[in-house]
Amino acid sequence: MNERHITGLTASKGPKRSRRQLTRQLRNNLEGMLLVIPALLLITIFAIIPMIYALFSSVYDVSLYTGTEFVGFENYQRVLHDTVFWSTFKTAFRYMLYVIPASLLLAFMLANLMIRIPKKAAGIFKASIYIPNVISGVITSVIFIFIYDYDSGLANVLLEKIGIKRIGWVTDTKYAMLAVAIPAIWMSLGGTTLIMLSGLNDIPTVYYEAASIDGANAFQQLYKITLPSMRNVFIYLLVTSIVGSMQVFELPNLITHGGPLYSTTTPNLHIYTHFINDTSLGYTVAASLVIFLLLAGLTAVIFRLISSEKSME
Amino acid sequence: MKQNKLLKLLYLTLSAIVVLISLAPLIWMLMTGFKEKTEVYRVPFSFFPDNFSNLANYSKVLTHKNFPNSMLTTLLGASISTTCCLIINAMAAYGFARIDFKGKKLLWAYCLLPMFIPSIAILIPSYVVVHKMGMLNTMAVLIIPGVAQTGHIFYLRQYFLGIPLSLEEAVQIDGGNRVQALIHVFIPMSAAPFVIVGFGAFVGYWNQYLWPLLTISKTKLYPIMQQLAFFRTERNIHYGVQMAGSFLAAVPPIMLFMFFQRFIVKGIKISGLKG
Repeated sequence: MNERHITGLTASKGPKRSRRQLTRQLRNNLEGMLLVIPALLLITIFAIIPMIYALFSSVYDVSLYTGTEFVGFENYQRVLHDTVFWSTFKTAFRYMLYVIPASLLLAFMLANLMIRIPKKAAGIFKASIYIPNVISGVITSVIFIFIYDYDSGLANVLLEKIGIKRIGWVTDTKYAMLAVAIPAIWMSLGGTTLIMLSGLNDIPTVYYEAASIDGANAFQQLYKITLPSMRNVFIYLLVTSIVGSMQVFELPNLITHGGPLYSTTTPNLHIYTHFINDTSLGYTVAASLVIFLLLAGLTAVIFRLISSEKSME
Repeated sequence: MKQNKLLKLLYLTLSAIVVLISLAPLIWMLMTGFKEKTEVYRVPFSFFPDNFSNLANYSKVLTHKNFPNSMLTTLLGASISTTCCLIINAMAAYGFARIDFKGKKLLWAYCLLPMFIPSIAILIPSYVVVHKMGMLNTMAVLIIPGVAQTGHIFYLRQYFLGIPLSLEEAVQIDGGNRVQALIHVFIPMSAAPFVIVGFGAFVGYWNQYLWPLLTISKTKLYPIMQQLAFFRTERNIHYGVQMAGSFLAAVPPIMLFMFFQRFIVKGIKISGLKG
């Protein structure tokens, strides 16, 4: 639509105007198509077709090696009656309880710290805490497996120094989830903090000035100004963290292998192991789709909550 | 005034502690990379290695039969993937932002569809697609499926829409065509989003693990993260060697980040504001 403006400039004079405009439009159609087709083709092959295939194979008994047979909702019934599947949800929920509140709280505190230090120092601070975000889950896992080593790992050495007995970080069901959660928080904290910081910077300083003139103390300012203004940032982070948590894979796969006793088998890990051990695709795909639907529902509910609260203001 | 200064000092000290804690696992990795096996398991424990010039672990990693090769092929793959990603997504973004063609609205809606498809839902079906296309155990399977990305197209288009139209008009008044407008106006002005998309593409390729785990089964073809995860389970690979390998595998993304730090930190701000 903006283009029409430009073409008007180049083809505005002369008797052949309308014909020129027509050829110009044809050229636009051709050029536009040529530009967007490569991307659309790739998206079709690697996102749209797999999605359609997922819907198809969840109601068929598809195998890569034998024939295909229509089975209706049998796969879904198998998934919904599978206690292991539901227990992975409980695991995911526990994982979220370990990771999300701690991340949000820490990031909020760090962002508040960051706006109180000089700009130059803040620059170094931002870059340093963001570095773990570019480190892969595999490297993080390899480092933390060593940190959790029973005899020579940093974690147990430090515990002993402060007089606490060594812990079987990855072998004890009590600590395995914590052992996965710590590196997860470490990896994502920098990004979360920077998003919080941009939210904090968006709050007009006049609010605080007015509040301090009225004699509001730091806590009152926090409750009446900072937290309400940051609500959308918090909700955005909450939604992205929930979606991210459901799809976590590397850390529980490498650090705890989903164990001990399946205590860290997250949905994504369950789907992966099921796929590796079972050649018929129906169950695996149906399970992915159920997770997808639940995630979409949860996200929709959260967004609904935001918009309704907004309209109340 | 004095109290203010004291408070500032307190904040700075706190920040320094936070920076140290957040870098501690990486420093610990670096230190262990210089340690002999006996040193790693020695009691009492010491944080620093005996000898910072002990490169035995690094030479073990660099003479390993697959590791160095895997680093190089992943570097190559990541470069190809980043280039393709930039070209294909920028082309589409430009088309959607600036050209008025038939069916644009419909195609744009179609282009946005993948935003609503979580990767977990299509992981296995995508495997089936590449399996049917005979792409398993090739470099193509690691590169091609990740090239076109709705997120990147959306982000670039948003940026292109913000570039004032008057600049292009100026080029056209001077008798230039669209290609010239692209070269003289668009590309120079889009350095920041290109860096952010390119960095994301590179690091995304470099760090991928689950997808190669499904699609690459030959040890020789493993990309670096899969190689690292496999390597650490081999015989005679003690923690010192593992940490040396991890360090080498962590260098490219960290270096790139340091180099483009300004752009990237700013980019996070923007994506945060969107929420």
